[in-house]
Amino acid sequence: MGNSVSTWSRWAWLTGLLVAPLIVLTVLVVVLNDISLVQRGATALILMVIVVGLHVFSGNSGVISFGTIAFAMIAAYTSALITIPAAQKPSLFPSMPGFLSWILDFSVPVPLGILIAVAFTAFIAFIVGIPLVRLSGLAAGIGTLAFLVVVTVIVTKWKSVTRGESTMVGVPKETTIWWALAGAILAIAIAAMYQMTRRGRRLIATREDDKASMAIGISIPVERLWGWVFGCSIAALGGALYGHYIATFSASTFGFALTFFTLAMLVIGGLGSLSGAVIGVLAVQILSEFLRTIETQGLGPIPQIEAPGLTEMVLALIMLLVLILRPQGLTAGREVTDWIHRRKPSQAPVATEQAHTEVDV
Amino acid sequence: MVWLQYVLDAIGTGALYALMTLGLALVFSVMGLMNFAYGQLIMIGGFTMIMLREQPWYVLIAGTIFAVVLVSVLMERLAFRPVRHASAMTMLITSFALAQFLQQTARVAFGANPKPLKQFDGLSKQYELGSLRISTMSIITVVLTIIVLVSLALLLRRTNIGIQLRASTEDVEMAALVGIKSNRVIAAAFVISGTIAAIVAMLFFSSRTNVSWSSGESIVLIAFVGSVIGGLGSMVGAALGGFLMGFVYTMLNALLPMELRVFADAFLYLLVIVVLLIRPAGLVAAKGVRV
Repeated sequence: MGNSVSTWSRWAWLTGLLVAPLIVLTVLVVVLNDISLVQRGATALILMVIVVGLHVFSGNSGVISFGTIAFAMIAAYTSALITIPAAQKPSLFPSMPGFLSWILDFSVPVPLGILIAVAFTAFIAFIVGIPLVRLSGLAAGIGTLAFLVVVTVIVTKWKSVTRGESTMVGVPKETTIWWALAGAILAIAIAAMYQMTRRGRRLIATREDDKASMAIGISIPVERLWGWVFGCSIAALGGALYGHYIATFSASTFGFALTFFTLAMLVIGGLGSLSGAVIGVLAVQILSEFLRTIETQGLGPIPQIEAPGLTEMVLALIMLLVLILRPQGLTAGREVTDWIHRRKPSQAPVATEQAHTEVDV
Repeated sequence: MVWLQYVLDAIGTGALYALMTLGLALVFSVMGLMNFAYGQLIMIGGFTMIMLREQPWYVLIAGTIFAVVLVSVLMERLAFRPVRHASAMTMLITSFALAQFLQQTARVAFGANPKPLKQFDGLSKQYELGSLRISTMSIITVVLTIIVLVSLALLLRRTNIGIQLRASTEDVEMAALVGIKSNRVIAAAFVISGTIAAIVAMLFFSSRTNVSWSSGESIVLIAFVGSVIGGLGSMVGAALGGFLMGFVYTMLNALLPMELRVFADAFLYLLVIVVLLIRPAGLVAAKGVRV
């Protein structure tokens, strides 16, 4: 790096600077004690965990993933299946297939359930990651998208295990805003750590120049697989927390809409930096709650405008404007610590070259 | 004979999907943009058909084409031109946001409930050929697909703008250096893509009973996947990829055992992943396209 700031101190600064406003906002929201405000705060923090997970893979590797949300879905269903009280299970899953019937006999406390769900999801991510990380560019986009479709179809149609379209119910509702805050802090700390270690640096190197990184002996599939498993596990943590927060969910909770929403947060914040992921979630979430308030009850001098879809419409329009006016996102791929450590801003990953000669996304 | 019937049905669906894919692939090959808002053009075509349903058929056809092409051109001018030099990821997300915007605008404008379409009785008529059945609709679809393919090929090979389009597909910077105006070429690609979207809209919605704000979603997914497995940058590849998506999907639905049939989509997309792993550049890989 050419300066004297140690890795540890840079890690502490980055994590601290990103986490501090979250803690302040959470305490503020809890002190104000407004139920809907607490709900919104908790949702934003859980979404932040998922978006940080997206960043760990896509942001550091420069490879787009439409499939990360599938892992949030797998974790939410896994944790639900093992934490629903054993007494309720027979009536909820009357036709559980024989080889899975052992699930009906027990239930574990929620924290343990989340832990098992994340570990299980990490294992799945590892298995499907082995072929998927070999794809890049649009093929990676399609491959991960195809995986999302496959998982969505299985969850929707495998009624005996997932209850299909009749939604998962009876899931212990234990995630509080404090849990969500803890999840967000953990995700940010791990992500910051990852991109400062050798492993993460190597992945970032493959993003910046794939040929040069291969030439110095970096194995692109290996580094991408690490990033993929880390990222998907963080998204899984977010998904499991979300499941125990809303308590009733179905495959559509984690579908294309959430994929679009989280990717948009990442790109609006600024692809390629952890700060971008955090700032993007805050900006989009605050804006969307502001619009939703106008749609449902009006805000101050602004009267209520009742039209389903209005919030989403204005939100999409504002996203478009941000993308058009600031294609590199709000942070332009820089970290908040870049201004403090006064090192030369790292080259943003969003290259301004002719895009279609560089199909790699 | 029942097999032949499945194949006939599958060809009809495959032809429609091939057309869908062509419109998306054309824009991609010229400017490297995977336009997620393409599906919304087809949705807009559906709503235009509802608004013009009391008009004579030629007004309906001309009006639908006009409306969809207009939106397509505006899309390029207002949303995609400013991000043309940004990364492919930014362009992709821009088209995502645009798709979301158009979809939600339709929801606000036309309401959340699906709107009924006028039914054209003549189109659902079935012809019997021995024990085989063919509907007017699938004959029209196949014939139109062939016409569009041939006229696209003629346009790309014989006309001035077509040659400029192909030159820009090969190397947009080089083409600009020898005096081809990128703005004009890209606008032309959006006009053609819009025309194809309008034709797809008319074919697609003629065999359906209603249009809703979310109608465009599944269409763009098929076109997106079809164009990538077919081979990016190659029109023949795109048509082939789209055709295969429709053909395989119909066959899976007909041939899978009953208890697995609900998972047909899962099997289709697993196949897509397998194709991508074996041939990441698509079935018909174009020269000079790096994926």
